[in-house]
Amino acid sequence: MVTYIIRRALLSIPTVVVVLTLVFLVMRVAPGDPAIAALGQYASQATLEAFRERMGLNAPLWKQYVEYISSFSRGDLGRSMSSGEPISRIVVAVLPHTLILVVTATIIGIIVGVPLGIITAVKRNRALDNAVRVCSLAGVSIPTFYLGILLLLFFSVSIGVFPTRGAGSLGDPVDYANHLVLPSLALGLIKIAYVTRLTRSAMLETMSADYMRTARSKGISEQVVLCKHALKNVLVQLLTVMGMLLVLSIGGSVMIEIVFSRPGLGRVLVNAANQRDYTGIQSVMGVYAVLVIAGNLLIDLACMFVDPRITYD
Amino acid sequence: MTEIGPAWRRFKKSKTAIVGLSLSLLVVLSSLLGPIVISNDPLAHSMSSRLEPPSSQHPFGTDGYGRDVFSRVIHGGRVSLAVGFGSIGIGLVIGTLYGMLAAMAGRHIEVILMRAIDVLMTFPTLIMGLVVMVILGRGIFNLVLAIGLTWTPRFARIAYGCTKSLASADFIIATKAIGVGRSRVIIRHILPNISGTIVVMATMWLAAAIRIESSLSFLGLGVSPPTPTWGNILFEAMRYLDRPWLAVWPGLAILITTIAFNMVGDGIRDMTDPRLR
Repeated sequence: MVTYIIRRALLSIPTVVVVLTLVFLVMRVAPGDPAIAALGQYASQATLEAFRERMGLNAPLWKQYVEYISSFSRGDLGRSMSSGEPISRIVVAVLPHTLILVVTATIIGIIVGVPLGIITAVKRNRALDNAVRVCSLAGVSIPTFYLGILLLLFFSVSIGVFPTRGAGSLGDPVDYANHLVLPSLALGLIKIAYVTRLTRSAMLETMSADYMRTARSKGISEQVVLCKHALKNVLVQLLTVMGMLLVLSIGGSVMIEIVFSRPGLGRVLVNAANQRDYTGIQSVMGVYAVLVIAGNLLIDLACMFVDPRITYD
Repeated sequence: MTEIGPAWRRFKKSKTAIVGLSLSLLVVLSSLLGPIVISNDPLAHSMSSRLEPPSSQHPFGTDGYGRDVFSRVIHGGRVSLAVGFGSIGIGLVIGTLYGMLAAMAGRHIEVILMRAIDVLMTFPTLIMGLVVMVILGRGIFNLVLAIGLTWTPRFARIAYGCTKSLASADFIIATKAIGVGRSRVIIRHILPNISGTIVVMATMWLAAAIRIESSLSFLGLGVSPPTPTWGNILFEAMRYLDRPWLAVWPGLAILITTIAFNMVGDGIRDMTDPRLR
């Protein structure tokens, strides 16, 4: 089994390379001169030339590509075109904040969403089911940043219970948690909506399966049928859509980091985008790709442990 | 494709779908007709009436330049809806063509074309739109194109799947057997059979496209001020958090629109899903 895990991990390396290649192609082959983008329309020819030389933009494209892939694999993400700072250092500094936000929101989504989805499926078409369905429809419709702004307006500006900006320091857990409440709630509430909808439809599908009728006809109590027979199958189904939820919450985390002025990957990306910093965008996209692919790998492995029908050979 | 008559009857039965449809019509009509009816200019500055709370003259108050927020939200709706419809249209056309061609292209090219789609789908739509906007530069047309391109892989995947399942159907094999060319098979025989599913997906993704538009404009990468869109009105409101009405109303406009379109999308999906009949 250990060899299987190692092989699966190695197999995801080509995917990462393909994604990095695509990002490189899009950023470099696309129209637009990175030097002019970074220095502005009115920079002199000499400054532009010096900048291109310093950033290695004069080398042939294939050489730049090889350099990009090989330094990425060494964990070197190059220097930012706008500030000149090494991007790896920026990413290492902000990555924990983004990961903590995404993981906390996911936990909130699962802890609340799964039970809600099960209850509403069991009590289908009753008042509770309808109320939850309306709320979860609103949840999947609302833009993340608007929910963030509403929470900010109510809890920080009007009542003043939570701080409005920043992430606090990692060294002070109470302060950090205090800063985390609203951002993770904004992202988490939206996840609850998705998880509830997914769980409800998976549960409805499972409840009409043949083995459920068999279990009931054996005279097992309804509770045991639901908990032992239905829940297990629903959880496996949910696990397989977790990858989609991961992509979703990474997109959402960008907006939340902007609204709450939290340090994070999303903020780095948006700043790089506003300054048209091509190396910055390219590197952050690469890091996102690695996160998504690694997340999907973990989910695949978790599926393997949970679902006995999947064999590893 | 499903027949219109019975499908409409099923659609009518769902209360959610009808409420959604009425709300959607309301939103579309108010942004189409609103700018004609409202007399306040969304771009007119007035330093004497900056940051006023809602009143009978300015139902949603005024912003930092003294502009009427109500008028800006109504005018902004035009831009946001146009970008939403336009980008889904672009994604639908390019994506459907790509998906159908990939499905009919033959083994090796097919694998390469669809792997490219898988790779593109690893990025959240927002991040993809953001990168395309950086390359193209700001502006309404570029925004439509950028969001359209981020939706292309999703349409391509659906079109590919539908075409694949049709390709082995007897009538397609028969048309091929009598010597009908590949492009004619795609246009005359495949396209009419998959268009129903694709239009359903388009309705479901319309709300998401509008959400991406507002997000990109909120980040300063979409439509540039002073042209109002729901996203950049919210961006400007972030500077005055002590005046909550500036942010609440434009956001509510986005929320009502996306909920309405999602309700219609859900309704159409339930209508076409044979398992739920």
